[in-house]
Amino acid sequence: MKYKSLIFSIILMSVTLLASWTVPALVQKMTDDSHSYPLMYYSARLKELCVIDFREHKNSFYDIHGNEYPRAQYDSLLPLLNYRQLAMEGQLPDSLEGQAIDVKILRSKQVMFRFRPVDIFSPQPAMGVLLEAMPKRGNLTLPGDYFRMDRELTFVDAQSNSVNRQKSEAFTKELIKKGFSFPVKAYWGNPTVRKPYEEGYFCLDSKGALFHLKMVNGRPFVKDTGIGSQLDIKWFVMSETSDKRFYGYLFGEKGEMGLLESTDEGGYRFLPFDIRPVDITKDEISILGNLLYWTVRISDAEGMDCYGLDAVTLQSLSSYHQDRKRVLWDELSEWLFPFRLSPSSETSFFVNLYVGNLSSKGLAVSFFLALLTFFLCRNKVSLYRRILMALCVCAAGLSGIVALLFLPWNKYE
Amino acid sequence: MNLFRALSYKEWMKTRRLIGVMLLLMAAAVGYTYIDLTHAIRLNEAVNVWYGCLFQGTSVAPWMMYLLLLAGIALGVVQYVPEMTQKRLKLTLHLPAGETQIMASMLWYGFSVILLLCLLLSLVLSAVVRLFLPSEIVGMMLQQLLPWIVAAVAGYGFTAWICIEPQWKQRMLCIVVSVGLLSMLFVSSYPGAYSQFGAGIGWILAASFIFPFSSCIRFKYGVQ
Repeated sequence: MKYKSLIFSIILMSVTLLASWTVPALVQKMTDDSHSYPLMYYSARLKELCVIDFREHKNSFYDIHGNEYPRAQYDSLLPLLNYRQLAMEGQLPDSLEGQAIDVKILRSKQVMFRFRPVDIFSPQPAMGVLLEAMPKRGNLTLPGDYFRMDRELTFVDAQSNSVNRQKSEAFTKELIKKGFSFPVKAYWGNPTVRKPYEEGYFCLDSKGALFHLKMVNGRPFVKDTGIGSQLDIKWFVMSETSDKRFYGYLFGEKGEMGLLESTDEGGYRFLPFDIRPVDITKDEISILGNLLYWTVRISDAEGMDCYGLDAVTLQSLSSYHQDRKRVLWDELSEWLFPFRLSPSSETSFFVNLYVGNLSSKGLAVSFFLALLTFFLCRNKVSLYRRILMALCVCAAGLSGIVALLFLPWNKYE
Repeated sequence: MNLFRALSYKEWMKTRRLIGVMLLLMAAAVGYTYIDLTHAIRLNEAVNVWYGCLFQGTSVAPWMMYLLLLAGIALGVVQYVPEMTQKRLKLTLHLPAGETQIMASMLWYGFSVILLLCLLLSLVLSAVVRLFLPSEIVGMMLQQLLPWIVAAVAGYGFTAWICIEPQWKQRMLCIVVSVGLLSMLFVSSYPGAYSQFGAGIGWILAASFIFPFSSCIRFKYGVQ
């Protein structure tokens, strides 16, 4: 049969690639440990960022300067984190820093936000749903139609599966009237009825202007936010919070991150966070905010940066950096595998052939293994195959050795 | 009659009953999708069914994941197990044509049949689903079907590889490799998750076509 050697080469390479996924994945499962960072929170009492890790230190927590505090003082030193517990015990203070507090106020000012790169690199909804922003009965309900937005805004009625021409024209005309330039680049909303109120969608037009679109009493409400002229917008995350202070989190092309706030005059304002530039393709962001201070945590493959911010100005009051903890898997993978292939990624929802964990130490070990393979197989296979096998082991290390075990050892050459 | 037409006719004689069964099963699957969809719309209203599909990744036809793969494997078994148990492959490889061409024509027959069946199913399913759901959701459904269709086609090729392999020990290793390669197509079932996996799909399909030739070489050389 023709192409014997070519067929063998293709099988060898395919099995090596497959082993470069499965073998490191198995070794990682056996040796990996948690890379999670401790809970960080800016204390309104200590005026400093606190590091809370009761798994490592059962009876105490620390501030970022290493000062230790007993666990018994956890609630009282972090009153805005543990206000429910303090209120239950009747120990919630009446005021903090001159501001009257009670459970209702604290709950309305509480902010919790989490962003992962996967939120961007995942299939986005093909259609949107515009809820009534001023519902007659108070609670939000699905309107019965969904919209698609490309070169115009088209509403499709779900029951009849047909386009609602009248509504589509009314909304498209209003958008064009307010200066919206089709086709739309992106639109972001929060398509759920499980939220306190509806703020519709923010739409980025073809010229980079950000428009606010919502439905009020069945009619379109469209407004140019004016933010597009101040910021090159990359991404937006809608967040309808209880105190209606802001619409959501804006990310710029140059690593800016900030709030899209509503002004007293009914306008829009971009309020940047005083933090390091953010790369939303790699950084995971979490925010824990309260009436007085916000704690912002940004982590990537290298480590975690944490900031304590003033809740009003978002200016940094304190910051802290912690390197990513190295575990047994990190040490082993460096030596055993020159690279690793995986169909999934921590930063993307899409299945792809992701190459990672590139290591020069692994390549050095692989080279030694390749030499060993070349000489040990000298009586078993032809020189061509030996070279090919050695190359695969050199490229894939331990994965290459495992791949060789799965190959047919032909004796008919 | 041309040799390759005769070979295709031989393959048709072996697989026609299974193709009939698969067509019936696929018709039943489309029928069930229709009943299931109308039932869901009656009970939960269309607006909620649309919501589930658009924002929660609810699948319109989730069982296709297994049905398509099983169809591919079954076709491979029906086509190649008789060849091996009744020693027909040895005779086939002695026909007056190159062994590569003979093997390729047998494989092409299987690949074409399974691909045609999958395309037919996708077409009919899309037409049925489009009656109740918008083109966006039909598109999402087709994106979800894509890795499963590839799994069906590749599953057929890998089954051929395993069936033709003459040695049991190597056959077991072939099964492990096949399962590993196919499992890449089941990492996620979310619609659109495989939209960037073009290179991987190409690799798996190429492997499923080329690997059976390796078993054929070993069979021809009488590896025991």
